[in-house]
Amino acid sequence: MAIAKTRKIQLLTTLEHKTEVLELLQNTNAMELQAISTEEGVETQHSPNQLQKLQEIELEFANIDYSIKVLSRYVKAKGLLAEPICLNTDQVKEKAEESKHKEITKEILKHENNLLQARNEKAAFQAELDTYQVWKNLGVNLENLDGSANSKIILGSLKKENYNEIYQAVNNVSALTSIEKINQDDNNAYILIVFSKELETELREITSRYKFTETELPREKGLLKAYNQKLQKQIETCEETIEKAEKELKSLSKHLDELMIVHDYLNWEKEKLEEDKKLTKTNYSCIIQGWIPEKNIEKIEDQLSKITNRYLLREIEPEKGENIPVVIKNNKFIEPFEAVTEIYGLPKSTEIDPTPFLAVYFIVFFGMCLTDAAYGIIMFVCTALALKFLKLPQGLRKLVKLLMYGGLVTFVIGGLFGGWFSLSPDQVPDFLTTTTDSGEQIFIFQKINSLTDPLTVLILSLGLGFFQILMGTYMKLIHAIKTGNKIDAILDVGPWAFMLTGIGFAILAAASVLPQNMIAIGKWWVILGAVIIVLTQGRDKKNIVGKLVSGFLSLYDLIGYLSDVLSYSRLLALGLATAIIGLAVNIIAVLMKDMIPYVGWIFMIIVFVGGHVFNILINTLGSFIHSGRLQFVEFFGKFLEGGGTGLKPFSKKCKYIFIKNNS
Amino acid sequence: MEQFLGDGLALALAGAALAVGLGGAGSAIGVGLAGQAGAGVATEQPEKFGKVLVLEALPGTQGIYGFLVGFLILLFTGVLVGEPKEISLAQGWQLFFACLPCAIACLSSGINQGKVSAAGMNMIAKDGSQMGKAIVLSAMVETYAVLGFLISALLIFFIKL
Repeated sequence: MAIAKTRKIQLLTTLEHKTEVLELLQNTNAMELQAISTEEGVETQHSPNQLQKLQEIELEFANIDYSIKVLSRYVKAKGLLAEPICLNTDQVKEKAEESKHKEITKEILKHENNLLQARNEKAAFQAELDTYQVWKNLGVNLENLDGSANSKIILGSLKKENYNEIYQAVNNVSALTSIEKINQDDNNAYILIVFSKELETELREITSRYKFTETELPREKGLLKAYNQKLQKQIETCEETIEKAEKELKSLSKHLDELMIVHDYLNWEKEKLEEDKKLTKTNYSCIIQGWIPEKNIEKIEDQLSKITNRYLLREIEPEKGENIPVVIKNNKFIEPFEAVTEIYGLPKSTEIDPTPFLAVYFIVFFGMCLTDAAYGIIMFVCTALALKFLKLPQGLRKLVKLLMYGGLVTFVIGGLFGGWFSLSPDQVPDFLTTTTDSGEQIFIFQKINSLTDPLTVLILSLGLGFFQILMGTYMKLIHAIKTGNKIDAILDVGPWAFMLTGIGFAILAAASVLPQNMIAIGKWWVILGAVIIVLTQGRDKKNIVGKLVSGFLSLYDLIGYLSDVLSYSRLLALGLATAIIGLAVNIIAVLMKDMIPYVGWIFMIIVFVGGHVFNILINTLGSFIHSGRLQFVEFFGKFLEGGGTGLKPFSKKCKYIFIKNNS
Repeated sequence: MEQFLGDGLALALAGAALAVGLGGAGSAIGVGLAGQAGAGVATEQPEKFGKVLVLEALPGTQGIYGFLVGFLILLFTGVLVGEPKEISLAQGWQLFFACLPCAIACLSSGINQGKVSAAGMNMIAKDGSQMGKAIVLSAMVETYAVLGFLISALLIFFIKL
């Protein structure tokens, strides 16, 4: 449990076994490699030979990555239940090496290039065609639009309302001008003006007055109509190219699985080459340095000895202040809760792993935020089925398993709170309900009703919160005594642990949980606690006044503890929110049945199912987040700093395939 | 009609209207802000759409809290089942004020949670594994909407009608 011991080791071996040893390390997923820092700094140079190899692999890898993206367009997305690619590492290597992936990617890139080029050309032709389409009625040959020695022709468009005015204006200039409307659409009139060259100044004045926009037509021969037809033909050619390329790509998409295997394989090879530069080499030997969880050392040595006896493995001391990578290790039952810890980030290597301590609180708080037994059953069944039938990646598996626990706990807490789809006891079959001594009808197992008796739930929430914070404080105390300066630890944290315990005792006494005569003890306990805090918390100040003042000021921290405890009231609020949304869904569903004649019950079922599914989704998310927040902010804040870096072992990372064991 | 409805019902309904309206407005603005930022992420990295959606949905809860308070008012005043209770002016004011904590807190919290969610989109754009942290940052803002809702709901439960 808790934080696994991580050791720094150096592994010396001969250069001829280097590749094999690296392969072994990558396969066992056991250690994180680290470059050896020398006096001159860290030496991380590839030899030119290796650099070239690395560049080659990177290029191949990029091509394959791109090809997979291209082909994915032509393959139907796999369903959730589809079997993913499952191979062992030897099979992957074999398949990747016999694959003609270079030819395939070359082919794919070629067709994809054709496709993109044809698409661009088509778009350009289409844009041209769209501009010229309005001029299709032009009866003049394009080569004549330049005019003659004495005359000039301009084409352009303006607002169609202005056409009559410009027509008058142009005709008024002289008899040597002519204006003609070629086409008209909803907004614009497209016109052609012919005029004698010496009249150009007057003409330009008129055209700018009416906001005439000049158009250039292509400098081609023949009618525009013919040119447009040519464009149309080119567009069709492009479309054919596109269709052909897509067909080719579609037929190539049968190689997708193969490319995915090569993708992951090349990724391993790439990483192996990248890690290689962290090794320190001489002419005949090399040193591999890195971090390794203690329990892996034996495993590695065992496998190394199968390859060669020419190796030397020794543990070395970490340098002062060096950041030791953290691995948290918990038993199978607690493991899913690591998902919660990982959201916050890992603890430092000198701290405690909070996972086993937060597990019970997290799951109980989660249940209290949902408090519906039926939702709990649904969640439990769904997640259990997902775990059984779906191949989930490791990280997601943890999360789903956590939700499965959550479903189970929600079922229990929901049962205690009497939440069954937010129905009232008279709405469900008789076997689910029972009658209390006072004659009230309630659900079986029900102990509390959060809608009519929210104060009990509030007290329960705050009580749990107080207990968790108290536990956090004691954890800090114990950890500080174990690892640090004992006197400082006892004087810093001890008084607060003493004080908080006293407050808890006093509250229990005042609430008559403890015998009546304990009230006085509780009172004196708290007063004594306060006095100790005043005396101890300011001890690093120089003079006696400073000591007392900062001691008194530190009593103010009590407000912090108080607000932390009050923060747990969200458990009640979220529980109420789930119950009331469910209630709203039920009432609206019944309204549906009453309002719509004959088929109302269909709508009732739709509203009921849809509404409750929505409620489960939104409140599972909310419960998870808020239950997590209580751990991160209120609980961790008491004893944990966090900020550890996780161990990133040298391994075979997979994006597309699942690795089976070699056996 | 007047003696049937009592004087305070209109005030109670005004409270419900404020809770639903302001809570919804806060969420609408918040989800809008987060959605705009999220659309950018989803354009560049469509595979992160699921994460974007969760982060966008976070500021949506304020609207739900407001709706719930409005719903409780309708339920307790009997409007929902079509048989409004007689509510005095004093009770009307009590219900009205009971709605305000949720209404005001949800308006402000929804908008600001939207801003934090939008900023969180940058985090997941750079590194999808930072999702949890982005969610927790955003959820910190929601606390105050939860507290507002809690007080509003408790007040409505305990006001004697």
